[in-house]
Amino acid sequence: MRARHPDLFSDTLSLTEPLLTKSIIEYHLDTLTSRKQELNFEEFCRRLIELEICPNIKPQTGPIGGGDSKVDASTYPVAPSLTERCYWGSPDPPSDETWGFAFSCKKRWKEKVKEDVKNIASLERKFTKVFYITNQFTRDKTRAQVELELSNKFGFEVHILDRAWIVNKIIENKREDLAIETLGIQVSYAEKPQLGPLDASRQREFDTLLKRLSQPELYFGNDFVLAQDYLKAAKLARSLEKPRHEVDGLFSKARTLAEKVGNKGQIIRCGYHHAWTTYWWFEDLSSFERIYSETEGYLPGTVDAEDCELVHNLWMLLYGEITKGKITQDRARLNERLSNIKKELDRLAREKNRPNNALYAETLLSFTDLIEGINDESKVKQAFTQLKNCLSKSIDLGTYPLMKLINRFSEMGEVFGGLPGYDSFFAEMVSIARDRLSETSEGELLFIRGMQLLDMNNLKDGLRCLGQARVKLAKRETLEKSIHASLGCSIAYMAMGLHWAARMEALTSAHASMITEDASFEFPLECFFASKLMGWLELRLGRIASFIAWHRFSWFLLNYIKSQGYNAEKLEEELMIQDEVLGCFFLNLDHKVVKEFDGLQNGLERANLFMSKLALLYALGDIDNVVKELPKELTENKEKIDDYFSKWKDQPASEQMPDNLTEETHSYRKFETTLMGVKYYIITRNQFGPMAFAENLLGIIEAALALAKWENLAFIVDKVNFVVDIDESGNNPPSLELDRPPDPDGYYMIWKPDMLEWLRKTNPKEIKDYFMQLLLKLLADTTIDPLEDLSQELERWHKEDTFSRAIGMSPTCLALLDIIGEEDHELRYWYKASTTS
Amino acid sequence: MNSDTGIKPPLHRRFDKNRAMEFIRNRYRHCRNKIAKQVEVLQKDAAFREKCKEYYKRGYKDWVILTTILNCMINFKIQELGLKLPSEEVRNKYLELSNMLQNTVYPTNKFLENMDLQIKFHSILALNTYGFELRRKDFKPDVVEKFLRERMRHFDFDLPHKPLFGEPPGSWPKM
Repeated sequence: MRARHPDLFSDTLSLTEPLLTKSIIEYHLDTLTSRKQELNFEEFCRRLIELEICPNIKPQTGPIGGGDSKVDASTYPVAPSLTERCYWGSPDPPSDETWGFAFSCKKRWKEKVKEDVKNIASLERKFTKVFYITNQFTRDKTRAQVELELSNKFGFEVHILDRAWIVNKIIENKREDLAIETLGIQVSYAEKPQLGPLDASRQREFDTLLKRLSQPELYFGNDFVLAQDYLKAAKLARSLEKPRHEVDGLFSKARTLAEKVGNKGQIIRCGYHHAWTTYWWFEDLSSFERIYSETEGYLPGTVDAEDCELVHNLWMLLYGEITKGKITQDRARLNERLSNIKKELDRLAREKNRPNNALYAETLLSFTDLIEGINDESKVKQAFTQLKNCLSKSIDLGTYPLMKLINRFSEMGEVFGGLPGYDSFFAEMVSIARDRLSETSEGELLFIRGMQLLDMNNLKDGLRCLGQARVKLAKRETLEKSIHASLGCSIAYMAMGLHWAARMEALTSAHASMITEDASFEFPLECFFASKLMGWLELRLGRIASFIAWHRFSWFLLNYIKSQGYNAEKLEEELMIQDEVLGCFFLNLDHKVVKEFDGLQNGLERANLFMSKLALLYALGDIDNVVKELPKELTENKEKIDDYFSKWKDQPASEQMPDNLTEETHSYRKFETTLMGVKYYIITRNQFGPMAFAENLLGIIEAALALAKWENLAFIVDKVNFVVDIDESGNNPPSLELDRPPDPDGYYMIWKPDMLEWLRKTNPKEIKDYFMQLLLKLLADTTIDPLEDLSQELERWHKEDTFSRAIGMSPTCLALLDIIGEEDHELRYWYKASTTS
Repeated sequence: MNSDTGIKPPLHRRFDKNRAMEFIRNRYRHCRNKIAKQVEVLQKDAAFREKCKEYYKRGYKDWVILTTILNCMINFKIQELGLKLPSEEVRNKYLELSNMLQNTVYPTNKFLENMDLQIKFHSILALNTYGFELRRKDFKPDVVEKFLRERMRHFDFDLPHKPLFGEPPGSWPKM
């Protein structure tokens, strides 16, 4: 494991460091002569000045004491071309001046320096600077006097460097090794760990996490996140190779909390990592078996194929132990355990409404078949063929972890590479990986260009690029960029006034951002931005219940982001602005209309919409309660209160609010949009299923026509009506009557009452095809362009990935159900929140 | 919600000024060949000229009025012959019917009664001229007219001449 994944283990190195203190060096320098180390001192000085003063030093080679040259060392000239081109180890290159050096261990340093300098001055060779280095301490004042005196007397600069200078250079410039080597200082060494880059980062993260975990109030009401943070801390502790009791303690805490929360995925992940650590880091087989048994109990009914994969990984470790003969078949219960995993995988593989997850399960099943039939050539071949088919089928499935599986199967070539069928399987992997990488590279370029165009306010071209980028990057390994592209599309649609399309994209971004890795949100910030955008869009569309639902979700995400240690002050401010804008909206409503919202006050409070609640109270004329909530200085008299709300009412935000509401309290609601001179109205029953379908349909129409060339489309109607409803007489999905001319009164789309169930269970591709047919029928019905001309325009749409951009994320109702749920979109839920709280 | 795609309609790609002028020239030629006598009668009628004043105000050119007169006359002829409308028989006989009109003159009051209705259909019939495909039956004449006016500049062009039904009545343009 350490060999295959060194990144998971500690990269800290254990280094030894000499324990050389200032006092030891000073003592050693003071006692040089008693050890007859004068020559060592000269060698030390020469090498020290090479490092600290100038690199081009020539030692004297004659008898001791300066010899014939009268200097212990001097500089030699260096050609200017070398001076310029070489690195000399110091900021200044060698000087072309001639410098002389004298080294001495004599106690009477003043006499010695005068004598040495006089000797040097008597030489024919002329020096511009002379350095005298002594192992003695010199008084500052005396040293300066001597330097000045000698400089004046002999006409060159004289510098005296004493013991203090030497010690300073050794300690500060880390010259300990030089001193030890040349002066022969005997020292002891201490071990000092040097954190590797991975451990340094892990340690920082670990410290931050522990600090946060020591403040349980941060997690109040959010044990899911608390468990997740304990799991993260345990994994960090494991990689930092902390003591076992510490690692086990953190894993146990994570598992206990996960069990309390009851999220199967989280429980399995915690158990998996604990078992995996116990096996690979602590090599404790019996504890591993125990944790495995505890974890596999949570597998039945799990919703993610990945959970099965984790348990299967643990199963593989047991399988390996049997082949090594460390445990018996009876004890390991391999067949029974594998059968339990396969049962769950088989169930998940049949859930075609979740094609990514279903195919993932199918792939894992094929892999288990491979392991089971490893000794049977035909079974092995068949398993590789199944795996090959799975990979081929995954091409259009964005969140299927294709690259992860390809990398894993490729690594497994070491073990399975010799089996029949592997080469053909490998060739398929190479081909798919090549196409996939090419597509994601193209997507990344389109993303960069799209963002540039958006910055330049070129909305249509920006949307074109980002829409394509979103589709091409919608793969597990490039999901983050795909989410960013989707958010960019949403912003572009919003700026173009296409709020239903913007809403559809923001919803897609939010849903994609909800993906978890190791039971923690992978993209909480993106999810927050998408949720906040949904809030703004619902406000613009005049849908109060949906706004409240998204606003509350945004607060949940904000708290999560805060718990992860981010500074979320600015994000919080934006949510407060949303609150004020809703308040502004209430203040601008007609008094009769505002009455519809009487009773919503506590619901608003539950969603942290305190300002909106205040505005609603005022708009309803409940001045007594307004006074209770406002600061005293604003409630001195009625004029002050009126003035406060009047200023609020006239805020510029009021201009961006819708003129009318979508009749949230009525049995039927009307949604609308206008595109290319045509008004599209949808009358829908005020129930989650029909409403979500209507929203989806308007989003598709806006997205499809956003980049359509109007000059190529001759719309010959000014209005298109849809009625979306549910009734026993309806159909799932309603018939489109493609071969019939349009009903002048509009399109009646009557579903069966179990429409949501149908949308949930039906393969999304079938639903996308339905929307595609509806869109094409709508175009054919509302335009008079010859079909040949229409085909040309549609061909252009196809090339620009318009259909994927407009229809690819449908049905959006499932994303809404996953994130917000069914009830929260209805105003009565928030009234109920009022009465129950 | 109003999107920015709903603000200024562009010309449709089938718009072509030269072709539009050619269609107009053809219409004048066709009408002069078939209904010149009837036009002469109508030019002299003050009530009809008053009606045309309204049409001119609405931006209709002489060729629109002339094709409407022609359509009215074909309708009158169909009624005379007792043919059923709309039918394959009528479509097949269209040319034959229009040829029958050369020496026919109907009383002015018949036109005063039918012109307003027939001029509405002008726009729908004009869609065929441009090669559009009429895949639905519930066209709203005002929506069609708006489309032709804004996106085909259908009512913007004419051959230079004094209005045929103006005060005083003008003459046929040079074709």
